[in-house]
Parts: sequence; structure tokens; C-alpha cells
Amino acid sequence: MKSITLKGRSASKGIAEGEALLTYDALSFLSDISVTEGIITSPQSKFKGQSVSDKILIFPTGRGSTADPYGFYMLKKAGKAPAAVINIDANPTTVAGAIISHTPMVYKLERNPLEVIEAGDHVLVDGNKGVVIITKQVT
Amino acid sequence: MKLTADEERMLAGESGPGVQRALELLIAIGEAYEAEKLIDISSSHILSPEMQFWNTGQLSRWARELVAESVEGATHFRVPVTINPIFLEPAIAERLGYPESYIEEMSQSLASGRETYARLGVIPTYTCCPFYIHPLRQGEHSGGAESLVVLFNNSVLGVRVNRESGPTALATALTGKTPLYGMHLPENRHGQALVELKDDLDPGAFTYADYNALSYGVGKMVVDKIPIFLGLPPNMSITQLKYLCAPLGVSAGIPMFHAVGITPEAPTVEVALGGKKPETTIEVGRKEIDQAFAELCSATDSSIDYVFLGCPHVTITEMDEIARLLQGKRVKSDVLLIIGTTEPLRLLARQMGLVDIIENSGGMVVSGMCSAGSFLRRGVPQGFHVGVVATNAAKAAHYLKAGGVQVWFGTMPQCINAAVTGKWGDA
Repeated sequence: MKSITLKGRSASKGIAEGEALLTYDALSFLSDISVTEGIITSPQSKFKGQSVSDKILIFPTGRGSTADPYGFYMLKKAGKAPAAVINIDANPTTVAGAIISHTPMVYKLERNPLEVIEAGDHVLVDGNKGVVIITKQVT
Repeated sequence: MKLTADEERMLAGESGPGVQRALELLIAIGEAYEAEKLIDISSSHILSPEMQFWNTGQLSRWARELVAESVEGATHFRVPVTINPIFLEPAIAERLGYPESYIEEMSQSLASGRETYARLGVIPTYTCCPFYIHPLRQGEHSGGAESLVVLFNNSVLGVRVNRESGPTALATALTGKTPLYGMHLPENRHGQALVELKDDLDPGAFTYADYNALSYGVGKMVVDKIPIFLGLPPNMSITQLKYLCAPLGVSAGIPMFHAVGITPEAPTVEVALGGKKPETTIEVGRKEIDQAFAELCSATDSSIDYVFLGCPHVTITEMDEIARLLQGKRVKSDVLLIIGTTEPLRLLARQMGLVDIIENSGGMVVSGMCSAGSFLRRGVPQGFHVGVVATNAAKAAHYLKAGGVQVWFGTMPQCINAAVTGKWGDA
């Protein structure tokens, strides 16, 4: 299996690994995800109905408001939070949410994660070093 | 990021784990924005998730846990701190006939929250308009959340403040610091989109609802560009200005606008633009204002159950206007008329006899709660029906409509008339 290492910046510390889930729209943890179930609910998303729980959630950036970090925190408390988050650009509401939820988050990778990573890839996010290691599931 | 000795001590945990986490959070936000350092702020404005957003149930308990974790070991806020409204007063919940168990749980959550913030020395404003009580000066750096406060501070007072989130606002209050980025840097404060008013508008004769509609409509057009309003009356009142600020906070994501001749940093359009060319020019006329009015209404039923004025919290001027409109009239028995403000202004209005006039007509003056934005949106118990709401506030109407509530948006006299007749549109 092919393994790719990408360097980026750390937004929130910790190490986690899991299966990649990609969404291509800006994401609000409060408006686009059910905080008690971890299911994507935004009607315009083609990933509506998918669970973010324990996934490595990859999306371009956050579109959060004042209360958005609370949504991330509630997801974590409900046991439905993603294992880690990867963004192209970091919105401060997502960064705040990841930190108060003790969830690793990395952004500004040397390559666009939405192009390098595919759904189902195994991804390790090292929020201490700001590194992402992708193990491709296709041979 | 370069840290001062004071910041290093906080980061090492010398002021307790809450302050330590707060500083870590601000550093991470600063790094995301490539801020070179943290700066000292002179004040902050916080909101309380357990009192404003989640009042009952599991989510409320989690919100309380988060706050307890965030303030662990902290003894006092580092700067003067004001606070946003709560969700719903238990007295209003009773009047609405909410279940007793719900009111009891909500009251416990409120008591716990009030105690937590009082212990840290909060100025208990419980308002979205802390500038009525603790105004700031041009050039002061502030921290905090609540889009209205951020817009008013930057655009009307010339204060420097970013649109932060709830947790980072609390972190700025606990540390007295915020990262140096965004609105704290003069080069980011210039206007980008010119907003010209067409000849078919007479801004001198604008009602509060017109200012709301203008703000709401322009927000949808500029999205993320800082607008520069041309042609607004230079003698606009604080009441009019708060209505120009608030809707922009929900229809756009911007932290600031310029109004030429009003905003301290916009004596002329050239200064507001910072010597650059505008990125775009928007024209607003009667058609655009009418369209905003229409967009803000979702109701089909003309029978009114609930009339709300005070988003943002009413000024003494408005309290006087409402009392004059109500004098000698009676609110229809099955309509709830609520006027929302902050406690010091309610006390003043009571001294002036205005609260008596409103109460004798059957209306209620409540302080410290976010009737429209918070409780009608999230706080209504499952299966409970608030009914049809009338308001002169675009921000409230926006949230109500988004929450599936039937809402009428119109002028203050239209709203008072609806409270008296129980019908919309008889004005």
C-alpha cells in the first residue's frame, strides 16, 4: 500500500487516525451537522446523511458563527465527533472548536488534501507536528 | 509567536488551568491568522452558552461543563467584561404556559451561570448593547463576540475588535489578550464596496424598519466586503445606528462598515477607501428596500400572538416612543407584547413613568433577555407553539423565519397596532 506524508500547520494538538470522509463545501458544525448524532444534515450537501463520527473529516474551511465551536464540543460530548479534522484554510471558529474538543486539527498542507486524499483512505493526523500520513486503500 | 513574560507565565499555568487553556486557544487562533503577537485589550464582551443558547437538557449540562472547564482556577477577569443577554426569563416562560419542570430546570441553569460570571467580576449588563452602559473610545482594542457589538464598536465608535467566537471571547476576558490580526490592524479596516442610495429614497425620513431593511439587504449584496454607505444623514441617532448595524450581522459575515460622515474613520469616502478604488458599487433604491421587507416576512396568517420590540435592546428614546403609541390603548388580551432592554434602562424608564404606561396597556418590559434571537429560535419546548410573531427587527425576523416561525416584519407603529388589534396590517 502506498503511503504519502504531507506537512502542514497544526491548529489543535493530539494524534488520531481513521477513515477519510471528504466534503467539498464550507462546513458549520452547528448548522450542517446534527450535534447529538454526528450526521451531516445540510440539505445542499451531497454527503447528507453520512456520519462524521470517528472519521478524519476533510473540508475546505469552516463557515462558523459565534456559537459554532460549541457545536463541535457538543459532538465530542455526544461521542460523535470526528477523530481529527483537516482543512485547506483554517477558520478561527473551527480552530476554537477543535481545541476545546481536544481533537487534532491540521491545515495549510503542502498539497490540497481534497485532491490527494480519497474517501476511504486511512489517514493519520499528527496535530503535534502538523503532519498527515495517508495510506491509500487502492493498489 | 512572540510572547511577553506575562503571557509565558499564563501559558505555564501560573494563573490556573483555565487561563492556561485560554492563552493556548488565543495563540492557536493567532497562528491561523499569522498574527505576530498578542496585544493587550481594554475590555471584552462575552456570551454564555449555558444561559443564551442551551438552557435545558443534556446540551445545557454539556455547556455548563465546558464553561466550568474554561474558567477552572480563574479568580477574576483581567479586563472589564460585559455579557450578552440570557435566553428567556422564567417569568415570561410562565406567562407563555411552559411546563413547570422546564422552567425549574431553566432557572437552575440561569442561577448557575449568573453565579459563575459574577464570581469572575462580570458587569452584569445582559445586553447585546453594552455600549449603552460601558462605552469604549476610538482606537481602543477590545475582545469579544456578538456580531452587533462588533459592528457597532468598529463602525460607530471606532473601536478595534474582531468577530470572535464564544469560546475565544471568554479567553480574551480571562487573559486580557487577543491576537493581533484582522480589525486590529488599520490596513484591514478600509471600505471595499460603495453603497449609493438612489433618488427615490429619502433617508431623512427612514423609519427604524427602513434602516433594518437597508442593512439586511446591503448585507446580502456585499457578503464579505466592507460596505461604505453614502448619503446617510450625518445626525443619525444611536437608535437608528444600532438598527443599521444589527441586520448586517446576520445577512453578511462582516465585522465593520463605514458610513461617510458618521464612522470616525470615514470623514470622506476617500479616507474610508484608504486611497484605493472601490471593488464594487451597489445601488439601493425603494425596490431593494421593499424586497428586504418582503424577504423578512414568512407569515401568512394575519392573526398575531406575539409582538416583540427590542432587537437590539430598545433605547430610552424608543421606550418613550412605544409608550406614546400605547398611551390610552389596550393590548388585545390574547396577544403578548414584549419590549426588551437592559436592566439600567428599564429602571430609568420606570422612573420616567414609561414602564407604567406600557404595563397599564397590557405590555411587558423585560430586561436582560434575547427574546427573538435566542428563545424563540431554540428555547421553545418540543411541541409548544409560540404562534405568529410581529417585530420591527430584521435580525429577529431573520432568525425566526429560519426557525420556521411565522413572522411579520414592519414598522414600530405597525407592530404596536398589531398588539392592540391582534391583526397585522390594519395600520
